[in-house]
Amino acid sequence: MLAEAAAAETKAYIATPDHTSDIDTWIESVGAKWRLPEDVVFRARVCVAEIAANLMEHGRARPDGDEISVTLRPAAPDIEVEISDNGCEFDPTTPAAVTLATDTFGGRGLRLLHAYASAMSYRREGGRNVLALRVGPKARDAAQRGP
Amino acid sequence: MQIKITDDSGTTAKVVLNGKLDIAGAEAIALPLATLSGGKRGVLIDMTGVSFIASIGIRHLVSASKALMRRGGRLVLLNPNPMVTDVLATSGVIELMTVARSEAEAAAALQPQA
Repeated sequence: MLAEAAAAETKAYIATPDHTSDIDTWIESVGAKWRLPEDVVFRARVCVAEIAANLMEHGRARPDGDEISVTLRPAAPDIEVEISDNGCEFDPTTPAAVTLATDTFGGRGLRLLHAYASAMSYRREGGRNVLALRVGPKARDAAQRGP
Repeated sequence: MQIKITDDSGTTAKVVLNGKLDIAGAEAIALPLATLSGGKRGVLIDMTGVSFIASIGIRHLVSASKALMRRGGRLVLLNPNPMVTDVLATSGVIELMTVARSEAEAAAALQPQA
């Protein structure tokens, strides 16, 4: 466990489309370095992309872009992801967010987030949204969630 | 993201995408895809080279699909990789488009329905 904690990697960036693409490439490379399953890393990348897109489209608090920080922690075969941003307060884990996810055009990202994260928790801390996710292999998620 | 229109001569068009259909990639395909889906009866998108997709990219595929379906047309995706296919299925949009696994299957899906 200590070894896993020591291996955590963090990157912070301004929420712009280009920086979001760079962060995606970084997650991909960290996942490959830790030899995590490609589909697990892919699903984690989708989760981060959705939170960043949501911030840019709906949660923007600063005209020149808010700051996002992503921390990755290996928990093979899972990956733990913490996404922190200084945008407007938004808790994607609430029932209201789930309703949005199933009912609206722009809610597809939240639907993906809820489907791909096997565990998810949110807190507002020091003016920042902090979302902690755990993403694992698809087959196990399906077994845990049932039919 | 690279977008290449390889056939635009008839009532259907073929487009080849390469790269990530993330927020930056979605910006690159938005206008060409909207233009084609507004003027053609069918659009085939070769997705073989698409390595990533998020909801912002899905949005443009859905818009194209709906524009085509309003005129009795169809959006056909050729060979999206399994992870991209899973994103389309999980987000609940896969029924709005046809996923084809070969050129022949794609061509058949683009034929007008009897």
